[in-house]
Amino acid sequence: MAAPSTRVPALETRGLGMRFGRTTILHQLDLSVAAGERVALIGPNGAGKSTLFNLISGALAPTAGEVLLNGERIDGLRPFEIHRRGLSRSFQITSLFPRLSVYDNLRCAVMGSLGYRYTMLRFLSRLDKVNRRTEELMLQLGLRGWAQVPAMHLSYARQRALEIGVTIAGGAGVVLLDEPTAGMSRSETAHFVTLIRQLTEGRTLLMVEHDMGVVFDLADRIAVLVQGELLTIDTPAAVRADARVQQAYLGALAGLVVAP
Amino acid sequence: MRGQPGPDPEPPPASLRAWALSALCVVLAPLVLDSGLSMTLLSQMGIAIIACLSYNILLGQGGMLSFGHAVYTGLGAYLAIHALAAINQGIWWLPVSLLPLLGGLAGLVAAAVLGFLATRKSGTVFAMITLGLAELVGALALMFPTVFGGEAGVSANRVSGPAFAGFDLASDLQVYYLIAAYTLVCVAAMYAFTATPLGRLLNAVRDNAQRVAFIGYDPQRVRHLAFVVSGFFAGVAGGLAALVFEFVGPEALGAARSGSYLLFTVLGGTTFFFGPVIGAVLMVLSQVLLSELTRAWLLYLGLAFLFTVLLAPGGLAGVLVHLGRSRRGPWRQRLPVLAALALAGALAGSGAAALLEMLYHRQLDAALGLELRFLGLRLDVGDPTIWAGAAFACAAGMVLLIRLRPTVRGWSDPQAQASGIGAPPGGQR
Repeated sequence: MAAPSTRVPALETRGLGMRFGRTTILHQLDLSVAAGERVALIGPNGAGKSTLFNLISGALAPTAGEVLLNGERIDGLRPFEIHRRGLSRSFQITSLFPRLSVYDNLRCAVMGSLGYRYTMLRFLSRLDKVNRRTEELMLQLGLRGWAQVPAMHLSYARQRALEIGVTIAGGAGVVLLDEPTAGMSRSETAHFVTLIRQLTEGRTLLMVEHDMGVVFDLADRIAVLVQGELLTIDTPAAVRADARVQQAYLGALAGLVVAP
Repeated sequence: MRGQPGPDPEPPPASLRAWALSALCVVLAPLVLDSGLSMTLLSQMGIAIIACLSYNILLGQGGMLSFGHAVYTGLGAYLAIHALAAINQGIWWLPVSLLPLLGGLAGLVAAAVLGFLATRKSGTVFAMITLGLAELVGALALMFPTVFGGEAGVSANRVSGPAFAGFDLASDLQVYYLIAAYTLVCVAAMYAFTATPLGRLLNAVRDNAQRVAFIGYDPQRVRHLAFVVSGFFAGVAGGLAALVFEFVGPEALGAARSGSYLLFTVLGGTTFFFGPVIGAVLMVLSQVLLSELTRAWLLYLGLAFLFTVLLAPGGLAGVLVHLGRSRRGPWRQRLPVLAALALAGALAGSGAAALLEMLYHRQLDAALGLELRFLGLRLDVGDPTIWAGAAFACAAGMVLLIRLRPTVRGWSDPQAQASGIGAPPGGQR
């Protein structure tokens, strides 16, 4: 899987740049993620990871370069247009529909992908395909018993699980996860890695993550972003051995690297 | 618990029995309440119910605080009254009982055009745009007296044209049944709307519009569609009003009317579908009956609104549902406290009301003498002991209420939160 595919990459950035006034956040970024690949994006705070996510998902428009999804340009499109082309993202700060139930949080994300986008002349309860898919998702997320609980009343770990559920519910082929395990306990994190693996099975994954255990556990390749530039993108073993990465992290990686 | 958005109540099972019972009440009501006044009141309530429910599609379900809902009811009313006038003159042929649908069409078109501007934004900006548009339409109405009739308005006669299904609207009873039919159908349709994909998406946009964009929908489009749906029902309400009053004046478009839709919808409760129904009934009762009873009625309304927003943001519906739920639980133990609460409230309320009434009497009706009739009593406004007594009653009630507060606060449990008490009327963003 690590070998670059000859096919069109699922996600690609070409010379992607972002400046706010005189401040350059991202500089000439070339990144390519093959279909079905899992890439972890690491780098110190302020390296531009979140900006990169915002550029790819359409929250921001880049000041230079292109973003390609399955070979087609998506930069400059609005977030919902990008989502319809098959790319979905989660948020570092949990972003759900607090007053809607778990069931409805997921159902809202599911129904659009099954063709009920702004439907006004059908009852939700009668959309069997939507409801069946939502039930399946709740089972996978371990939220079956919380179906009617408003998202705002869930525990933090369950909210994080629902966050990923809402992200993938629309059936996107390329999934961007922004620090999925942030703020979780060790045992919750272990459970979560399994969950992410299950939910993103067969999908392309780009993930910002600070927990090196998770990164080395999940990723096929690791991209290291430092001060708006891509330092390297390679297999976990190569990245671990890379002296520049060690330097960028000031040795912080050394202690954390636990062979899976 | 306050300040935090409450959850959406689980949609109550749309029991056919509840609907059938309501419909039966509506059909049988004229047998009991057969005076001319009650007929008029019931008819106006039906119209207000449609208007307030359509307003709540924006406020409660979409988190859109509109300051210009009267624009859509008003334009619906104007188109209906002009069509009626055309029928009167024999220019047009249309059964009069279908005019409210024409009003709905006017509301729909107006909402599609004006809403396109307003719904591009949410929150404060949305509110400001609706306010601006309302002022604009109000000013335009006065600039074109040939269309809007200027200050004098437009009149027409509803008993004309071909009778449709036996309806010629000659009697109050027929008018009532026409409005009842429209109200039942519109309420059912708006209830059904909440159970559609678009209806649920509207709640999602209210809760978190940004996230909606990242799961593949255009939040602006969701808001716009909801605005158009709301505008249609508002227009139907306007068209019905035109038929009932056979007159439409510029105040039908005015800020005061928009304000009263907002006020009574919040008073009734925005978190429950049926909250605005309670609000609408109160609207008619207070505008017709309370205004007869006291000159200070607007002041009481303002106070009631203030108390609702501060203490029970779920509105009357929220309070009722809360009481209904706690009845199953520790209701019996709470009975004495509730009784004390009611007593304290009555004491404080009547004391304050007496003071207000005496003040009003002295300021505005001094020429009528010093005597004021209040709650069956004759109060001498010139007697300082009466003032002291009223002030004492008010203060004693307040002290009691404050003393009871810790007890009541102890009651708040997750169920109370689920009842929508503590939920702000709008959503964020």
